[in-house]
Amino acid sequence: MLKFLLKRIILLIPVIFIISIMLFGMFKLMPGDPVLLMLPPDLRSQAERDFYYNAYREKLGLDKSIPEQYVAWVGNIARLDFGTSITNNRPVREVIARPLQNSIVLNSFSIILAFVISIPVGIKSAVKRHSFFDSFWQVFSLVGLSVPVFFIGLILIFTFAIQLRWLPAGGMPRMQDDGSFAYFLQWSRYLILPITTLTIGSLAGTTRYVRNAMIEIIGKDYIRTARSKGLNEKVIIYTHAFRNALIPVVTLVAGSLVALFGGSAITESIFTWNGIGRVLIDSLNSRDYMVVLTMNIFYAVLSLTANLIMDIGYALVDPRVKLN
Amino acid sequence: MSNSNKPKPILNAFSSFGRTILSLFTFGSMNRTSRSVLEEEAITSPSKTIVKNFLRNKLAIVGLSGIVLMVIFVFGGSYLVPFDVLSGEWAHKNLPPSNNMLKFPDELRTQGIEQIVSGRSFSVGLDKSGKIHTWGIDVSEILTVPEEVKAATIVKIAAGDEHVLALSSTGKLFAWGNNSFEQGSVPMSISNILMIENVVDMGGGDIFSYIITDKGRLYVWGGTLSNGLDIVPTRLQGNLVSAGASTVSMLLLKDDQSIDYHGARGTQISEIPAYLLNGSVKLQKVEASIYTGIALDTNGFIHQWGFSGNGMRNIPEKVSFNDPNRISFVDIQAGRRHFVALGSDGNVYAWGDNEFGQLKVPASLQQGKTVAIYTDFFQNYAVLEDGELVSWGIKGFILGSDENGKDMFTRLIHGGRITMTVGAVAVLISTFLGVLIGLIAGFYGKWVDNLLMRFAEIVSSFPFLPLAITLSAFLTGQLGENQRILMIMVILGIISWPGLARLVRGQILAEREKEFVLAARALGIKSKIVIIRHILPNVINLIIVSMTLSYAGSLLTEAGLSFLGFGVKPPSPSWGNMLTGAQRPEVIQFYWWRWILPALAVLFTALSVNLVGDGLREAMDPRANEK
Repeated sequence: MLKFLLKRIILLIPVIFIISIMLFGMFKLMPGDPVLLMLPPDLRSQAERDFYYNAYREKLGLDKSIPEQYVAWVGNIARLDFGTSITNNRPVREVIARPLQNSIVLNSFSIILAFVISIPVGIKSAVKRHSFFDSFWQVFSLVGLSVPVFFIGLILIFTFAIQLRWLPAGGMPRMQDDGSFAYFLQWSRYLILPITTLTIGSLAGTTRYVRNAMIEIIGKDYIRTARSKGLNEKVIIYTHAFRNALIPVVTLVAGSLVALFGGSAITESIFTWNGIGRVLIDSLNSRDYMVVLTMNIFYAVLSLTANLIMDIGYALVDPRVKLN
Repeated sequence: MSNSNKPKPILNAFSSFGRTILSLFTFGSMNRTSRSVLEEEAITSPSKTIVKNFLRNKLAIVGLSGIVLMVIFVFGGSYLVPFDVLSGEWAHKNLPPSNNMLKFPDELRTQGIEQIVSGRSFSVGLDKSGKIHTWGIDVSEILTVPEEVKAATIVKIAAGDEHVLALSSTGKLFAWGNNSFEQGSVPMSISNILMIENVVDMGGGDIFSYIITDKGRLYVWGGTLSNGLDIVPTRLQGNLVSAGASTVSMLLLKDDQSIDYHGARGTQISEIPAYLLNGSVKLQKVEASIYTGIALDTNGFIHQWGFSGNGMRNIPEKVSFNDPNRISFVDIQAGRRHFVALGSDGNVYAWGDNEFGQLKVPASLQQGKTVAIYTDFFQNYAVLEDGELVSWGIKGFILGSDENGKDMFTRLIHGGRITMTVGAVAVLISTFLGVLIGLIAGFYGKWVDNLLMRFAEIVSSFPFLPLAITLSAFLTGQLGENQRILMIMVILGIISWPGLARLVRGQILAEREKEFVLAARALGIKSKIVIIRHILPNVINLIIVSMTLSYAGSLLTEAGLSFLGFGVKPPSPSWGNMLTGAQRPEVIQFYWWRWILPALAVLFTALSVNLVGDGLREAMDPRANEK
């Protein structure tokens, strides 16, 4: 087990290395000179301009060759220094921290909800195939797979925020976060619509996934054997079938782990939720590429880790999988 | 079976297909007895079974019809309804779906028509009994005539873009409609003036209102900050008779029958010829479109100046100065971008821009029996001798209009063309890459497999949408419109292949171990041929299903990307970018057609594709038949 882990982690290093080179290369290919954005606005002569230009280039390390810049950048990242955001002149880490928290809150709620709903629904659909219940959820999940996320969001805003006026259309609470219960209540009101949007969006996929996994298992010989032995149907479904159906579900959980941090640009943008997805959009629009670069590196490391966790998870739930 | 009566394979397939079709209608009861075992076996070839299973699935057929419908709507529509980037009229912005802009009430006609005026989406009619009738699309509650106006006897009406003025027989002035610049109300100063002076002419521009009194004085109120219309020069004040209003300026007719210009400087419409300014030609009426002016002299001839594009100054040949037998005119009317004139022969002439059919004068008005014409914006009305009212021009937008006054119907068609094409090409690219990489990795194995799958892992390790957004921002920065759309296709294609590649690889790994591959190899067949001829056909089902399902996903991705502003950008429409403006609460609340329609189009298409994909998968999966 330990040997396997070590091997996988060592294998990860070149992958991350390649990704970082790719990203850095792309970043360097970008049109637009960040230094030009930093120049003071009231420069009178060309000489003065050149002075500031060169001074900033030197300060940012842009006067060095690209490989040198890359090494310096990787060195900084290793020290968890991700550079400075050019739009608000704060360390990238600070810029990202709060939105990341917000995104995690939003996503963890919706992912938990999606699993809590879709696992029982998926099991019941699979057990009672072609029943009304199954057909309903089949239609629901097909529509859910086909509906654009922004449409769900807009309909929710239209119904609950504009017509019924029950919930805020978006944004964050205006009052100061004083850790009080009143703030928490306020804050959770703002959470409801985005969470619902995200949950509906991911429910479709997970329900289908669980249902298909269950159907596959129920068709297996050992289930027939269990039935012919006269076992209680509940025991068959929950101890024999569901446990085995869990194996593919593990993949889904690991995938959600990335989604947890990934943020959902569309939902966050509709509900003006100050999350990581919106930070990405804003930084791209304002050409704050240091933030973009950091976020993509973060995503890459995160999902490679998730892959690793998924493999380990497989090995843990499925004794047939050998780690080597 | 002897060689001679064995049918050729192609014919065999054909006839058995015919039999299958036939058996659909006869429930397979025909021919059943006459078949040999071999024929019975031959009928159910795998591909035929798939087609049969697929056709049996009602949902899949619904999906297929949905796709066909959308393809006809989008691609057929694109062919029939050309897309003009420059189309759209500001005056038509945010109009709800409607087709009743010209549907005047019958009551108006029966009472006798005194006057008709139009705003950007509505018209107001005044009948001979002094009653007001309104019709068209309601904006700023314009169609609701105030009670006090209903109670009064009205003698004169006028309309701005979103407001209406009405003058009663007692000389009282009423106004309603859009009041954001107070153009839709009568200020105290104006009421005070009307205690002494009487209105001889009145009207409205885009956001202002004006009256000219019997003392020859002009008073303007409303949104005049940018054009200074409320400050009337003293040389004009006191000798004015009537006026024609454009969006930010006015053309004034003076009592010496010359004209003058008042309003924003430097406009094309301000370039009035000298002979009209100095009164060497006596004029009886002046009217203004946006950039072109028109005047009618006392001899019934037309003079024009200003912008000459869009045929705005192409006075019909028959009535132009070059024709010695030309007819004179009784009345002229200016629309936004066209002119309508009533000849002394009782015929109606129209020229200028024809985007909304405002030049399509009905044949009944060409028979010398027209007595009056009324034109504003893009709506036209004419009264015949027998009191009949005829209308032509814009009827409305069947699916509404967007914030630039562009027709949603046209944009939906052309947006769909782009969205569906981008999705399709992206899927083709990703399928090609996925199959190729999957095949190579699966067949060659070892380090090739390891390398390619590592690569797939790198590509798929990024969250999909953020990666697409980042790539789009990075790679399309300086591209033109079409290159940009092409780049979006490529981006979507090159980031969505790993899933299929893994699937194909897995399948190949399983197929590779089978005996027929071993046999093929043992016969010394080249590995390239083994892959393409022997292995690929076994995974083709998988590829087709994956293509269908990822097409649905691709449609959604493009829509999401464009929605966020990182995909197809305006002026090129796409279903996604049509929704970009819908993020503002007022759009969600008031202009529902602007977000519901494109979103429904995406939903409908993606759902149809998903239904077909699901149907295909079930048709190809032998286990799905066990019921």
